Amino acid sequence: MLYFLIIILGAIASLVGPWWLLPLVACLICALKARSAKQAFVVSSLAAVTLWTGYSLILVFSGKENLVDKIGALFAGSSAWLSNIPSLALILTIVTLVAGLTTGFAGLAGKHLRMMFS
Amino acid sequence: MKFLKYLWSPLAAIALIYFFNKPLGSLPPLGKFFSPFHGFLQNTTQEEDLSEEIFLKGVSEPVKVVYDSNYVPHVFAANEDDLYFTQGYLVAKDRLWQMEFYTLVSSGRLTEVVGETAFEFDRYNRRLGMARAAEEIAENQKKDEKTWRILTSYAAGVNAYISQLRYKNLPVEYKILGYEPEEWTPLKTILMLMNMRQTLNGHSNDFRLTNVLAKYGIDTVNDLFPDYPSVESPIIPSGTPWNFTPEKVKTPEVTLPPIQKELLSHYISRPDPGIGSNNWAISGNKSATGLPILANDPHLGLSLPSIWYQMQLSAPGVNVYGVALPGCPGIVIGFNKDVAWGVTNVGSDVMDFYRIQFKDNTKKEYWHDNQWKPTKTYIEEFRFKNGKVLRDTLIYTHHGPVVYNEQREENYSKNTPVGHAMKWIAHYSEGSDLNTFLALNRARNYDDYRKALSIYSAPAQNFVFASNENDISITVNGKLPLKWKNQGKFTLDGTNPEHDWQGYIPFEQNPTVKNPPRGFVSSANQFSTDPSYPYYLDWQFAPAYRGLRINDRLTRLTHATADSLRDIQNDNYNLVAERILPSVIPVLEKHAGSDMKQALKLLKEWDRQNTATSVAASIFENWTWELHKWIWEDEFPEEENLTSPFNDRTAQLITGEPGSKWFDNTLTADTIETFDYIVTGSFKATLDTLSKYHGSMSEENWAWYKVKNTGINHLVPAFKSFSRSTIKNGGGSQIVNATTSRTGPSWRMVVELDKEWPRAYGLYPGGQSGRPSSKYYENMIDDWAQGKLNPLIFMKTKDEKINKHLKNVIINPKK
Repeated sequence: MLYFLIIILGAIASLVGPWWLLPLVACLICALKARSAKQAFVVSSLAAVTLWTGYSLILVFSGKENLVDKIGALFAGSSAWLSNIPSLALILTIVTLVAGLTTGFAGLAGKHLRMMFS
Repeated sequence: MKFLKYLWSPLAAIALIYFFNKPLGSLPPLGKFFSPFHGFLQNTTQEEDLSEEIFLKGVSEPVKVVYDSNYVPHVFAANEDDLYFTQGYLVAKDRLWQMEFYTLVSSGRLTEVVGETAFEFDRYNRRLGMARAAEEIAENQKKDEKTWRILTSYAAGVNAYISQLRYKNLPVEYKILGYEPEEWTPLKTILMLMNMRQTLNGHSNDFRLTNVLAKYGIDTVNDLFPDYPSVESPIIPSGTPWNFTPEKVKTPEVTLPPIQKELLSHYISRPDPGIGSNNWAISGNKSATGLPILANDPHLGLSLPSIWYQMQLSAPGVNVYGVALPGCPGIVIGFNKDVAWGVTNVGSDVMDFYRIQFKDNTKKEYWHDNQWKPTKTYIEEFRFKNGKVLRDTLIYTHHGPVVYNEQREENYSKNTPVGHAMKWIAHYSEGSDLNTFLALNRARNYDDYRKALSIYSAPAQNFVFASNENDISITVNGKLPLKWKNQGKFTLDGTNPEHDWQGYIPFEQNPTVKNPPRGFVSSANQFSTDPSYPYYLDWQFAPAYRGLRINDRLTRLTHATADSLRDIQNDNYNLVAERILPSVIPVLEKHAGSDMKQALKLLKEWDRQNTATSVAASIFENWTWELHKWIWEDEFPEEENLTSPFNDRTAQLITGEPGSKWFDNTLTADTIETFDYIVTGSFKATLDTLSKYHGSMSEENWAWYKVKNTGINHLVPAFKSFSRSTIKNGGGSQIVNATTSRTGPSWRMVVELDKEWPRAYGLYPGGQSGRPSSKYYENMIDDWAQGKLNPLIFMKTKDEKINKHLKNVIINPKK
């Protein structure tokens, strides 16, 4: 339930506002709905990763254009090690880190804020 | 206590959001950049955004835009305001980031978007005073109501597009570099044109040649740096009469600079041999149709997005097709129903340096015409991406800006600071270059062409022209300063008013020819005229080889078609090889060791074509460079800021003066190197270098296209994955197909004039879209490399059915 709420409301917020509305939404929802701090972190994080990687994959595979390889190469720079990683994997790793960390901690923050004042 | 226990996670969340919301060093803000809702992935969804009907505030009547399958927009508007508004809108849609980038370059503001690494580059561009000149030009344009209207309509169109943008649909370069577009203004259009003035006119060898003079004296300069080459085929054919009384030009008593070395030379870039162009037109009696055919291929630095954008622009009074510069209204090179025109760079001397004597270290006054005159001071402010601000003082004399000033150690009076002021045509702010092109867009005949040219200033161009009234013409055109012979070959005396520019050659007296008996006109940046022209333009122009080869082929041409001219644009014949190989091959045959025999055999059997797969071309091109070094590097070392003699003089030594003292290597005191030794040694060195960098000699390893390695880089060269490298094509710097590693034909066009409707062909090495993920980003490169041309679709009316139709877009007025 929490998981789907964050995905749906987070997606709507992301369509109309800046990227950090997703962690903000997770924060609010977790403040209201999360049963535990651990759940708040894990579910928020999973929901955000699902949303971002899911939508990213939709754009990558439905789009007629490929920018993933070019951006991947740009981020790999001259590092041979990074260049050996497939671009999509490199980009999804960054996507997962950014979305998972910020939204996970934001969800946890929501739960903690609630606990602080209850 | 409970408070503290739970506080850390909100703080952590805020810190993470903050961290991912700002740029990390050279990385973009990772949060919004990788968010699929906002970041770069949104850029892969845009091409299809082109809806059939859009509403814009700014057009007064519906505008129809027909896109052909090469993504070229054909714009049909009911009036000129709507036409240029739509041009601005559409070009911005495909090229916004690029056009703004050019304006940041010429106004020296790159530090604001890329940071401190661009500082020296910016500082140089500010010191050239381009932004200040652009402001003056814009002020002058305001007085011309018609032009100003076009500029503002265009700007409004660009701004209509910018106002639609949110972060998620910004061009991806903005997202990577982390900034946003500013409002477009007419001034930015002028700044864009300023880039062309710098690219084509912003180079000089004055300092370097002054150093040669200081080291070797005037006799050696006259011997090695003559004022006219030994072989030449000037743009205006020899024998063309000069039907005018020339203006008087006064030569001062002292013309040479004092014998001392200049220390500033390394700041001013040398003329780039890859920047040039070809154009020509043949008359009806050489063509299959009986009417003229015109061809043009401007050679510029190759970039992605491309410097050109193809369009058809149609409104009552104008219907024109060709290429536009992103950021600039109208068509720069193109054709309409009746005429076609094209340009190549003149490259005459329009940048000079004056030695300035300041009164004291405040530099508030300088000596000129026997009195102290006040300087003007400007403070330039550089804002860095990280917020840091640096200031630089820029001093202007009446000549122009003092580009750099350094204390000279050997200066006779150390307390008197000196500097070099630049007199540069790019600062010329009258006239309207834009109007010339807008008038050519509407030209119907030769008289219109001449009228359009009369208001042009800079960069001076060889304007080639052909009409369906069977006229062909070429005019060396622009503001050409009136100079005494060799004025500006060396640095000039800034205290002596006789060293100032004395005005400009009147337009009517600029070199021009109409319908010459030989049946064609042409230019390839060579000498504008032979020495019979009554004015001095420059002592050096581009080497004659491309011009010689073009004129040779055009002379032989009969019953030509567009394809015959396309074939000449792709001519790979190496005239340098034809000239010098007969003198050097016998030497090699005498001395070559067994390790050189195979390479020598290839050279002897070579058809002298610089084709993509030729191994001999790789050997020869590298060898001429190596040979040049072996002959000149001892007397003209790079680190002393000298310029070594040019191609033609070197070839003269090789073919006719094998006993010349210049072949001796002056660094070896006890031996005297001979011509044979230099030829053989440099040949061996060439083979060694090629082996070192490309592997052992084989058709695979040493193919010319691999050795030449033509690459088309993104405007930010660090964006390697947005660039193309090792393009498989032939050519070379002295070849008609003038493709080098970073420069080449930036647009190829051939137009067959016709009484009814012209037929035209063309393409450029790139694509219409500036979006790196678009299929129109680089779709023309492979055809370009193979020397093909696309038929250009020039529509008669907005409702004409065309093959290769992509889609129609109607732009309606928004209430």
